[in-house]
Amino acid sequence: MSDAYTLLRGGRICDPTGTADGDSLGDLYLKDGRIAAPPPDGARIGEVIDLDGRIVMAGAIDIHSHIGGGKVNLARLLLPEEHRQHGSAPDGLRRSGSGLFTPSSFVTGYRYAEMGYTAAFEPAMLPSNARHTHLELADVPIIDKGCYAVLGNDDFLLERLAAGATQSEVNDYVAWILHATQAVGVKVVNPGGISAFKFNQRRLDLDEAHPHYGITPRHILTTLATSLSDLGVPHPLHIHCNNLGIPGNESVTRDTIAALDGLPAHLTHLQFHSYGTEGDRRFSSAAAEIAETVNRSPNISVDVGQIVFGQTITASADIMSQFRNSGLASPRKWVCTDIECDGGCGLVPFRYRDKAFVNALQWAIGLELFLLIEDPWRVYLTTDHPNGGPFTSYPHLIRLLMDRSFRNEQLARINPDVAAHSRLGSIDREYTLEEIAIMTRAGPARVLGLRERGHLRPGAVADVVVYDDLPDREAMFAAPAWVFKNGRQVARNGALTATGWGDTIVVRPEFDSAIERRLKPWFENHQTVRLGNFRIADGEILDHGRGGLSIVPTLTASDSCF
Amino acid sequence: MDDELGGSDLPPPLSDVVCPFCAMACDDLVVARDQAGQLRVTANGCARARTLFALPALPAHCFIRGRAASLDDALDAAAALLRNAGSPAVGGLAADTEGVSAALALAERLGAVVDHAASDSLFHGLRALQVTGAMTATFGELRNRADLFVLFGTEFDRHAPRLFDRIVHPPTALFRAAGAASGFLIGPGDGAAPEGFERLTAELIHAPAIAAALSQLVVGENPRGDRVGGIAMEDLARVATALREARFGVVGWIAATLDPAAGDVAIEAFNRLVVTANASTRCAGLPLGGKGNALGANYVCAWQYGMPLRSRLGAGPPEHDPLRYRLKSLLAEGGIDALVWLSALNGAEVPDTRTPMVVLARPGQPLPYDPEVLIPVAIPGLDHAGSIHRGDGVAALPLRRLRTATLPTAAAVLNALLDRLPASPHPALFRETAHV
Ligand code: SF4
Repeated sequence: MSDAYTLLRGGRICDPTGTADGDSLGDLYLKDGRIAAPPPDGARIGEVIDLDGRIVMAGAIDIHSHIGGGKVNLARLLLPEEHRQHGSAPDGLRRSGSGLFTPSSFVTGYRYAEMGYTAAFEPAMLPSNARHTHLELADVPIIDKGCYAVLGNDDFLLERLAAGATQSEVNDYVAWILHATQAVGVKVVNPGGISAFKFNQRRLDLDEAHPHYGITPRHILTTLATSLSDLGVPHPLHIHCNNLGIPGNESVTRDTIAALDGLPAHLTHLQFHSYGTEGDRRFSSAAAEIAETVNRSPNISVDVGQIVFGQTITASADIMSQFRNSGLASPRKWVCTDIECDGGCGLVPFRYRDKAFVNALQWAIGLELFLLIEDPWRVYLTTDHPNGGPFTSYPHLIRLLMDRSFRNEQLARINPDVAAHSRLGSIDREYTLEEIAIMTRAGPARVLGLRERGHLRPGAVADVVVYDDLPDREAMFAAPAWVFKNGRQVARNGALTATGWGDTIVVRPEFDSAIERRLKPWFENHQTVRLGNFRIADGEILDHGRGGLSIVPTLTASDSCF
Repeated sequence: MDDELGGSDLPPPLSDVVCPFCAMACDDLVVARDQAGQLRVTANGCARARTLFALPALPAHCFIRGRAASLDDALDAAAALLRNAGSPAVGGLAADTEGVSAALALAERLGAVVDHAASDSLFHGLRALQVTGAMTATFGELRNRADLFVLFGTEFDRHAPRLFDRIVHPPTALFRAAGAASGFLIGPGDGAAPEGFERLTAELIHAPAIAAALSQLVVGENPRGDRVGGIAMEDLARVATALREARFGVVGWIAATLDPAAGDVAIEAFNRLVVTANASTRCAGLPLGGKGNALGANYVCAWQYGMPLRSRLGAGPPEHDPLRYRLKSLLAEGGIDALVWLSALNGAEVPDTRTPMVVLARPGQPLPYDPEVLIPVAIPGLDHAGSIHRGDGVAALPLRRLRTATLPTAAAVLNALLDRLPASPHPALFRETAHV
């Protein structure tokens, strides 16, 4: 503990949750890693930094970014060419590393911090891969991180649902998984579909019966969404809808929202689920219809999964879709794995080309979604890193959202059929700085239940980013003037100045531990890891001196959630 | 995790113990411990586990050129050797995640080449992955689902000791009759095949041709000739039919028994066969064998540096070259002037080389020569907690401390060595304490 304050003086404080309007100048005090209330006269001010009217925001939060775990690591091994092209040497501060769209763990932390991001969430942690995922994330420096456990294709749950398990039994299981895997949320990926593929079924629609269990994706989806709501887990069910990437899948996306019937839920990488079948090529944008549905559904938040042009790799638990798309692999090599009666993993390298009709349309669809969804509190900036492109393209995407003429210049360069017919050119909307602060900070913090992050009010973790107010928003967001993590300066003008370790963010809802009486024999009779070895102890995360555990409080009846 | 050490007079046996001695990473062992810290596997371990768990926890000295020395002196001597090295290497890497991490950090400080003792087998799979990709399934999936195993290799008992008990013929299974999986063993040897299995004798040098012929047969084409690699075409046709008719077939292989010069070509052919079979039914590849946490060591290197082993770290960006940085070749050519060898687990025999060497080894590790410096280290999973990766690539398993350790961990020794070398600043914590 220190008794000295750090004073950030005279900045334009852009905190959509606070009272500051972002136009007048204000001061920010940091102390002991937190934002402090203005101190009494005579308090000791250690360091004073004059911001000269620069823009101040909370640290940015990436709600959906595949930054660690078995499938990301396999992607690194699959594409050594990427890592040969993008390498960095140790420099006394930084460990060496490599990679652009599957950067190595140290590089991941450094690049996020240099861009003003102070937390990122790995969205697809298979429970059977949880220990590996946490081991990897323990080597991602600086930022806080958390994981969503993937459920909905695990044979335990499917078998119990088919046997008519009560909602409360499912709730206990979901809560047990959150504890055992040290997760902060639950994601469902192609509910039932990954499992169905193991029974040699190649597609599963929302109301189609699973070939073995006879239950439908709708049933899996609504049961899990209800669980998280019942358990008071702040982040609602994180949903990767059925039929990813298939023309016409917009209907399953809208049906999914309808099936939720008001239950809170987060639909991820919505761009990949907003495809119609109009036009000569039977592939069209349904962004307007989807955005309209989201606008009418206050229980739904989304992230976009914007694509950016260039080489990347798609990495997903959705092996059913990835196997179907394996013919598109570029370069021509891919991985599909069936995993542990739990889930799957599919890796398909991909090159998005701006002159290709399909890719150009995907690009336009993503931007249409950003611009047509009205409430910035419910739509978040993602590329579904690395699926749509690397997280390092966020500054470019922010410019596309904030700068209409820049956007239209880019539109003019892509496939001419798309450019001519897309609605994008007719959309005038430009995001304001405040809206950017919402979609990259306050909004994700709210939907994740991070009460101490995403804002700059006293008591918040002192994750603070200071930007030069440049007309080129890409340059502005690529290289913030200062980045502070837990009150300590970690980057200056886009370059790292210090490193360290962030927290692992978890949630721990209450549950009836009697569920273990059912789980223990299941693990012994049907798994290849015993229950006690499956569960990750706190010490496994804490004992390495690489950051703490931060527990998100569960919601109570008095908490307002949308 | 330290609470595993009970204080009572007669410690109860420990159950669900993870075995670190091969890539199957069985986690169902029952281990008894006497007052002296002597361990004994009382249920579920294979012969290797029974032998290695029973190694006594000896207090052991460090040695400098064959003379007993204190740990401090040994570390000083090791640091002096490494400080002046022009072409250092850090090899062996048979250790838990933390031991491997510390070894890689040391290598990065030194500008050293890193490689695992068992990397030849590992790189058969890795090079195939980098050409064709892979289509695989994990132990847990196969235990419950696989109704046909086509296994290439030999000495399955040695390379994957509990494969048949745990995966092929488990006591219970969800989606197939538990004991009923059948299959084919393709490779040299003519011993009795396990129940339900048929042996097709062939030299594994022909594995690529056999797998290619099977791919053709699976899609209904007729390969030319009446034998491939010594196997009659009608026998191969039966294998192909079985793959086509299986609900979930497996094509498995013991990488260490494939053609040393072209194991990658065989695995590429296996992968093509698997992908071919998946056009109409389900099928998955299954790499088998491995020890010394080879796969885990490669994973740690991949996530920390973006590159697999057989890379040079710290001398600029990580530089990977599977041929140039094969440590065995470098040692044979005299291309290394100081070697750190890490052998905390089994599976990393100390190389027979005159290269000046710092050896960190579990007690009882045979040594061809007295190295410059020998520092005995604790065995992960017996003497200290940690984690390792199972060979099928998804599950990482926790290792526990089963007895009072008398030796330092490999990570502790490596970190102490790092501290003796010219420093770069260590990252500072933002916060000293955790929230919980
Ligand atoms: S098969 Fe391998 S992991 Fe299992 S008990 Fe034997 S040596 Fe240990």
